Amino acid sequence: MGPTRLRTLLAVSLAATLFTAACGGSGDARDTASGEPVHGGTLTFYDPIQYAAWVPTASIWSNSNVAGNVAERLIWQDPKTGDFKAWLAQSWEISADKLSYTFKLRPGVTFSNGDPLDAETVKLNFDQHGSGDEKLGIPKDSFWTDYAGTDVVDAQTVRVRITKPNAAFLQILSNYRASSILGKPFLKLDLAGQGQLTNWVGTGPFTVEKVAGTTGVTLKRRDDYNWAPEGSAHQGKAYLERIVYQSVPEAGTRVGALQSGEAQISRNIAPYDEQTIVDGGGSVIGIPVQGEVNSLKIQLDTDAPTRDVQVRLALQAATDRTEINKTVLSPNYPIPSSALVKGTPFRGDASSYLAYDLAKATSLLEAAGWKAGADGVRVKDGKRLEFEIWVAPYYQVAQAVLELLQAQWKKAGVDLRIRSASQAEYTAAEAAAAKATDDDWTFEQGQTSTAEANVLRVSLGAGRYNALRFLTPDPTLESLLDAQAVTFDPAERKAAIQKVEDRIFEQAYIIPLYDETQVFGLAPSVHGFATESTGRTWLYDTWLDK
Amino acid sequence: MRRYLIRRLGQALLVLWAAYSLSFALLSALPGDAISNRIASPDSGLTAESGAVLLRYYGLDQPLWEQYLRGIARAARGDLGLSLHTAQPVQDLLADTLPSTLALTGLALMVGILLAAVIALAVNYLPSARLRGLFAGAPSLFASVPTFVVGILALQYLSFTAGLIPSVDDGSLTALLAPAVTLGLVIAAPLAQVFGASIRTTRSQPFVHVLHAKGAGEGYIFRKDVFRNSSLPVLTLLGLAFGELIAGSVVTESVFARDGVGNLVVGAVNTQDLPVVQGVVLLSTTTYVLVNLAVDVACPFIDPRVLVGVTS
Repeated sequence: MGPTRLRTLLAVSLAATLFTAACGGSGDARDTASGEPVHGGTLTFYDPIQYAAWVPTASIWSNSNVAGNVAERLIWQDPKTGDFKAWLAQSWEISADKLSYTFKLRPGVTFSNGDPLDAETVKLNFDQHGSGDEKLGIPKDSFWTDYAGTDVVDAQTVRVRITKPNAAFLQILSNYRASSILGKPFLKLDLAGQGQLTNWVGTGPFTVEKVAGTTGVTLKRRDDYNWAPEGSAHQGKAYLERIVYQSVPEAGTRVGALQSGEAQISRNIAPYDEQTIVDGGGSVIGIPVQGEVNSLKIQLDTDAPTRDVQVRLALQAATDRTEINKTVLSPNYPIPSSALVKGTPFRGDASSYLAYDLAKATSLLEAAGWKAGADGVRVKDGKRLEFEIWVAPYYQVAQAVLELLQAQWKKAGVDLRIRSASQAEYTAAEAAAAKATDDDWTFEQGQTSTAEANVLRVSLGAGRYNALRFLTPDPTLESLLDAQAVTFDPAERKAAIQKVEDRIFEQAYIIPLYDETQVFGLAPSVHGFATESTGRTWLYDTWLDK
Repeated sequence: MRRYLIRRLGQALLVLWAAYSLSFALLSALPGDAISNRIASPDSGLTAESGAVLLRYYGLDQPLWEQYLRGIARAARGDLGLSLHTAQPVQDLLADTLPSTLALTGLALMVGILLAAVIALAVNYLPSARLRGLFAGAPSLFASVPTFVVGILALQYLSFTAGLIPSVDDGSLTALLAPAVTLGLVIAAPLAQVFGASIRTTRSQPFVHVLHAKGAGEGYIFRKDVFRNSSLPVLTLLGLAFGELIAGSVVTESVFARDGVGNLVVGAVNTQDLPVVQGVVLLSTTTYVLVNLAVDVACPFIDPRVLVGVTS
């Protein structure tokens, strides 16, 4: 099931996508929900990944479609507007120095074991996220920085303190990966105990009924649930009685099962399968995942020609994102025009940097001394303008996109060589390249999802993930990234993010490919489908017609 | 016989130790481990500081030889360590997934043996030469079509088109049938070939001609003499086919999205979850060794001549 099969699929995909594009976009079930919602029924959800790694402070994205329906946060971020709404906290206040956040908890909220939600429990949760617990083997949560502590003001009031102002802190408190509130019995468990979903005690509209290894999870509705986020379509218990999550790695099975009625929702639908689902009476929903766009991040710790900003700008100009969208993706994927995905709060505009201009690319390369060689590939000082790139195994469409990019860059005289590998090989090679400085790992395809513009600081900041692998940080970029994080006025914040984007693209640090998008296939019986702010399912308002 | 058994058990322990050490060496030779790779990957959101807590918790900060010695001492007590990915004890993960895999491989084994027996008998006893030829071609067909192709075709036609079987495991017997047949085909091929050939050889032996001359019918001769005489190579092969079953279950469980040891190891390999991979290696080695031991012990009962060289 290696590259050969993928390539065959890609050939089919090309034809199918063109067809899809010609037929226009697909429906949005959130708008087409018809009739009165009904309670009851079991929804089966097919997901390509295995469910593992449940430790809340060291979570990974793969569990996200399950976790958010079991555990909840103090505040809810509206996926459409990015605004923060009341949830487990009914109100909150931020101190004038932006260093302490006081939350008034919603009364009457209980965990699935019957324990009431109180300030003490919230503190225990945040202490584990903010500081970790070495004795229990619980690592500190990397989303949490500059944590000073949490005070129990009274049973229903809790104050969280940080040491440095952070405009993105409220978003962290609303993030499903960073701030889920779990019950006391769970927090006493060590790493092995917290790693098991069956131990999760949450306040969510669903509870864990059954876990089948890493390949299946069954959630059951909590009938006494009555604290849905402000602005939800309804209150009280969820409509669905049960949700059965099943790990199904075969893309064909995920599509076929929607048609045969075995599954009602399938996640990760390939562009070439979208039309099949629509033809079968279902619908396809693409949800842009707020956060960074999916891009090639230039790895600045190599000796590659990309150390020269002129070469980076040339590669940027040689990249035709519209063609990528039309040829190997679908209208469900927005064409990138920023470092951030469409809909991300405070997103800037970088469209002027991202226009396709082959002539500009050619002249930039000429000026940088890269002259056309005998075989069409440019040469400088006897060195060919060639790069190697590894296909990131996490993205369904990565290989197809890179193959098209290869053809686009070839027109500018750049030779891009694509390497496909298993996930294990990829991560091992990636880790090795991260340590070495003389490697060929020139580009890394990736993105981080967070519905907050500060994700750029988390990802690109030299002191954080350092995704650009700066050996010496770019002081201009660093100061702009830091400045936006302490700017609280919305208009000023937007301007501050625009400055960050300008710096990123003047230096062509990243080459955006497409807006990261979660594509779901829905059976005709599904109504009221919704996700939280980063495209992970929130099935509280979802219902099935009989 | 007792000395033979003790010697075989000693060998089995040696094989287990070798499997553990070899897999440890091979997996340690890969750059990084599940946690270091997560720290290095910008997608994972695990900082070096948080990762260090995990590395200490798992003991991955210790020198390799110490990890090896501790690991082997723990394994001897039946403690296979914690998964680096899910943090669950490896023996729990194995215990959770084993029943499903046993059901699959058990049924597949039965399907395989049944198919092999039918083919072997048909190839030898069918009256029409054309039909015999048809059956003779079956094993090569089974062996040459990859498991995942059969699996995907079965899903497409039996599940999505005809709606006869569920496409994923829902716990029912029908859900087990398609993957078991898919897997059964793989091991039916060599078994049918060997059993068929073995029957043919036995039937051409002089003693069978004598039985014929005495007036015994084909059915009587098969039941009384040919079957027992021709089953020894099949039994030996069955032990080896068990390895095939374990390997085949990895692909089959993936295609049919079944929870099981195969699926567990796919996930573990993808995330470089060393303790889980090692746990599965140990489990399959143990099973393989035990099955082959059982086969070796059973052989003398079927054909006492096997023991001639051992007991003298």
